[in-house]
Amino acid sequence: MTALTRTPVTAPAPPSARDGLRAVLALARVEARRLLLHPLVLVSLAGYLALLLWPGGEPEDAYPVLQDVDRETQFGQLLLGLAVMIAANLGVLRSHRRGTDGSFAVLVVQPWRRTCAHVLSVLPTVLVGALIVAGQFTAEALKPGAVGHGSVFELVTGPLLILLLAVLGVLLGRLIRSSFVAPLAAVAVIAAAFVFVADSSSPAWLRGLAPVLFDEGARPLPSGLLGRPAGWHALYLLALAVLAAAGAVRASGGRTRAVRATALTALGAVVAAVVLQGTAPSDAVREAREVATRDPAEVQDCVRRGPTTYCAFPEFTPWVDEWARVTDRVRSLAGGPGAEQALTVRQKVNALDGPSGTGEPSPAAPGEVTASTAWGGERELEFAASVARGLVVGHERYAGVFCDARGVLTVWLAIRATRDGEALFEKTGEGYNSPGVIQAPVTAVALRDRELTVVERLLALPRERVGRAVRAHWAELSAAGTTTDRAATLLGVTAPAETAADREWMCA
Amino acid sequence: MRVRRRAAVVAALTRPTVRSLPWRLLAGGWSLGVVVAAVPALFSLDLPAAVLANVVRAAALCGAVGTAFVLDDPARHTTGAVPVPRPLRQALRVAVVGLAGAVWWAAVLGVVRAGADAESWAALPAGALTVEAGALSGLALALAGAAVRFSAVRLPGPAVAAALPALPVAAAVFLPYEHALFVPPGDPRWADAHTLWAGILAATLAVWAGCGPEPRRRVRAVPGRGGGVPQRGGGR
Amino acid sequence: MTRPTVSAAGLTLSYRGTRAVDEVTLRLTEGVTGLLGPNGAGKTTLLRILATATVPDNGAFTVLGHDPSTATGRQDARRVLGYLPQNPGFHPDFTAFEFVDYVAILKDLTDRRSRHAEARRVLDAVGLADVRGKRIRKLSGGMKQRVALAAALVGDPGFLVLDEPTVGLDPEQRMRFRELIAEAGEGRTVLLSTHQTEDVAMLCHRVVVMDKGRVRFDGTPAELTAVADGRVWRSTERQPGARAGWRTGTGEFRNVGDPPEGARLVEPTLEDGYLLALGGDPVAEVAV
Repeated sequence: MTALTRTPVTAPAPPSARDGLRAVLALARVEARRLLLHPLVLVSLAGYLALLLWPGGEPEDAYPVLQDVDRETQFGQLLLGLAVMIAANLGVLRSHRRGTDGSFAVLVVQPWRRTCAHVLSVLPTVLVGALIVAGQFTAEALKPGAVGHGSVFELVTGPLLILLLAVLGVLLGRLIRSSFVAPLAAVAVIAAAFVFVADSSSPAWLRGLAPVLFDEGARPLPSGLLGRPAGWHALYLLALAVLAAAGAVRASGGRTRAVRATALTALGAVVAAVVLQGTAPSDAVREAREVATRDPAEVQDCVRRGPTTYCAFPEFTPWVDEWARVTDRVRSLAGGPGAEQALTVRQKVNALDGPSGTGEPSPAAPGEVTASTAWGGERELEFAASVARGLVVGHERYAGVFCDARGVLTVWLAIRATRDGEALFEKTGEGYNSPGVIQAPVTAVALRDRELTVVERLLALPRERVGRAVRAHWAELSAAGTTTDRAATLLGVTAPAETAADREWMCA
Repeated sequence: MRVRRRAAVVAALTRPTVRSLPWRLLAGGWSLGVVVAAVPALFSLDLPAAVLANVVRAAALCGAVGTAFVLDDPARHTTGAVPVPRPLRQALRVAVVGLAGAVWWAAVLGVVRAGADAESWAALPAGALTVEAGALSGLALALAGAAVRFSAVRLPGPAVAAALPALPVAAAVFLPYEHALFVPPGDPRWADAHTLWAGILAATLAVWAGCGPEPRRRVRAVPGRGGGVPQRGGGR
Repeated sequence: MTRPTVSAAGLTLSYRGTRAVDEVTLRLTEGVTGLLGPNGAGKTTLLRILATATVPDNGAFTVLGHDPSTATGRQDARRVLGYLPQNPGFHPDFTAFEFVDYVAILKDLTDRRSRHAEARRVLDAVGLADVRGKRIRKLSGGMKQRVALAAALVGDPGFLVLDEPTVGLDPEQRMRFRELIAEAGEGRTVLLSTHQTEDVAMLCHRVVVMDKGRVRFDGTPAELTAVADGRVWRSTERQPGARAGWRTGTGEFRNVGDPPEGARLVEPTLEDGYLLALGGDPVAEVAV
C-alpha cells in the first residue's frame, strides 16, 4: 500500500532530438528480437538450416565452382525473406490487431519514428541471413575441390532480398491495415520470381526487375565470362528497399525534407540500376566470351603430364590432377598404343549465350579431347568417356551411334576408369531416362540395346580378364569396321541379336 | 423430423452466414489470383504449358490465402454456447464460399485459356490442377479448423494466411525428386503427384471435418501433468 | 424455491499445469447468484464450463436437468441457457436486430415470424428498441453490451450466465443493467460474475467467492458481510495489524483485519467481508 505514496523519483530528462533517436533504437531492438523470434521466421530458419546441413548430396558437390555457388545462395534467402516479410508485416500491424492503436497514438514517439524502428528492426534478421550466406559460401570455398571466384555482389544479393522483402512488409503494413496483404504479397513475389521471369530470353532490363536474376545454364563458365550485372542488381535491391522504407515512413506521417530527399535519391538509384542492368553484358565481356568459345587456347594455361597435355581456363587448373587421374586410368586400361598416344585435353565452353546458355561447345580439333567446366560423379564418367572416345575414335563430331566394337570399347573404358563407374553409368541412364547414354562433352556417347547388353556382360566379368583381352586386341577393337559380334567374341562374351529398336538408330 | 429441423436451420442461417463472411478478404485473394492468371493474356506472352501450370498454381495459392479467413468469426464467443452444432455452421460457411470459389476458379481457368495458345492449353490438365487448387484451399481450411478447435481465437485467418505460403514452398524445396508435388504437365511423375494431391485434399478435408465437433471430453496428453489442450486467448 | 436448478460437483480444469478451476462444487437456485473473486481466480473458466463453452477435465454438472457431458444433453442444455461472455464479439456489419436474429437462429428458432418477434422482444427488454436497425459498429460500448445481453436472453433461457456484464459501463448504464439483471433473475437462474461488490449487494440473493480456482465462500450477502463483523475499525495512525487500511476523507484510517484491544469498531460492508473471505493472501494483490 505504501508503494503508492508519492515519493520523489528521478524524473526522465526532457526529450531532445538525440533521445528521439535513442527511443527509436530502443524500440528497434525490441522489435528486432520479436521479429527474429517470430514463429514463422524461426521455422523458416530451421528449415533453411536443415536443408543446408542435411548430410548427403551429389558427388558433384565436392567440386563447387564458386562463381556459381555464390548465386545459388540467393533462392534460400528469397524464401527466408518471404517469411520475414510476413512476420515484419504482422509486427507493424500488431498494434492495430491487438487494439492498442488508441493508447499508442498519444505516446511521445510518433508513428513515423515507430516505422523507422520497424525498418531498423529487420537489420539483425538480415544479418542472420548474411551470416548464413557467409557460412554457406565459406564451407564451399574450403572444399579441396573448389575452383573459381565468388562475387561479393552475388553474395550480398541474398541478404538484400531479405532486407527488401522485410521493408516491403513494413510498407504494406503502413499502407493497408490488414494482415491479409502480406501473405498475398508473398504469393505475388513467388509468382513474379518463379513463374514469370524464370525466362532468360526476356530483355535484360526486364529480367533485372525480378528479385533474383535467374541464370541456369548447362555448365559453369569462367567468372570473367559471366557478365551478370550483379553489382547493379544489388544496388537495385538496396535502392528499392530504401525507397520502400522512405515510403513507409512517409505513409506514417514522417513528411520531413530528409525523408523526401532519401526517397528521391533511392528512386533515382532504382532507375539508374535498372538502366545499367540493361547494358550488361559489356562489349568486353562479349568479346571475351567469343574468344573463350572459338579460340580457348588463347586464354588457357596448359600443363604437360606424360603424353597428355591439359589445357584449362586459369580458374580451373586445380582440376588438372583429377583429369590426369582419370586419363591415366583410361590409358592404363587401353595399354599398348593407346597408352602412349599423344593427346590434348582441352577445357571448352559455349559462352556465347552467357551463363544461361545451354549450347554445347564445338567438337575438338584432331588430337584433342574436350573437358567440361564441371567435375565430380557423373561428370567424371562423362570426362572418362570423352578421353576414351579420343583414344578409340579420335574425333567428337556426331556421326551417329557407334554400332560396333568402338562403342562397346569406349563405354567399357569410361566405366572402368571411373570411381564407382558402374553405379554412375546406371544413374546417368536413369537420370536422363536413356540407359546406355553417357552425356559426354560436345556429343553424348550412346549405345544401342545390343551394344549395351555386351557392355553389361563385360561388366559382369572380372575386369583383369577383360582388360587383358582389350590390351591384346586394341588395334582390332578400335578399328572402324569391327562388328559388335566380333568384339564380343574377342572379349569373351556373346552379343544378342539386333532388335527392332536397334535398327532405328543411325549408325556411324 | 430432425433432418427437417436441420434443413429449416440451414435455410434460416444461410443469409446471415453469407452476410457474416469476410467477403472483402476473399475478394482480395481472388482478385489477385485473377490478375496473376491474366498476366499471360495481358502481355500476350506465349507461355508453354509448364509455365502456365505454375501460373494457375500461383492463382490457386492466392485463393487459398483467402480461404484461410473462412472460419473467422468475431462473434465466436457470443455464440459460443448455442444448440446449432459447430460443424453445421462451419459447413454452411464452407459451402457458400465453395460455391463462390468455384465460380472464381472457372474464371481463373477461363482467363488462363484466353492467354494461352491452343497447343499449350491442350497440354494443360485443368482437372488435375483443380485438384491441386482444392488441396491448397483444403490445407487452409484444415489449419483454420484446427486453430478453432484447439484454441479460443476468434480470427484464425491472419495466422493461417501467414503460414500458408510457407507450406507449398517447403513442399517444393524439401520433397525428394520422385515425390515432387509441383511437376510440369507431361512429366512421368504427373500421375503419382496427383495421387498425392488427391490424398492431400482428402486428408485436409478430413482434418477440417475432424476438428469441427466441439469436444465433449478434454484430451489429456500426460495424466498428472495437467496439461490439457492449450487454450490461448480464452481468458480465465 | 430452494430446489437447485444447476448443480455441479468436483469441477476441475487445468491450463498448463495450473488449476484454473479446482474441485468446485456448487448448487444454484432461482434468482441471481453473484460470483466474486480477484483476477485470475478462475471465474471466467467456471462460467465457460457451466455455459458448456468449454469442457472440464473432471467433475460433472447438470443444467436444468440436462447433463452436458453427452451430445444430446449438451444440445438440450444449450437450448435453455443464455451466455454473455467476458469480451463479447459481434459482426460489426450486422444491425443489432440482425445480430440478435442470427443468434436466435443458432438457438434453433427456425420459424421466421416468431423468431423476429423474439428478437424484437429481447431488444425491447434491454432498451434497444430505437436503435435495432443500426449497425453494431456504430453503437456505443454500453449499447453493444446490451446487444450481447439481448443475444443471451433470446429464447427465454432458464439459466443465464453473465461474465462481468457491467465492466466499462457508466453509473447510469450500470444502474440500468442492474435493473435488467434483476428482472432477468425473476423465475430464472442467473450466475453473475463481477468485480463490483455493490452489484452483488444490490442484486444477489446469494454470493460465491472464488480464489485460485477454489470456492472460498458460499452464502448470502448478509453472511458475507458478517464475516467482517468486529474486524473493521478506525484509528488515527496506520495500523500494522490491518490487512488493509487507508486514510479516509475524515483524515482517520479505516482498517480491516485483526483489531487491537479496544479498537473503535465500525459497521462492516460486503466488501470488507469479501476481502476477509479471500483468506491469507496479501491484500495488495486483491483487485476490488
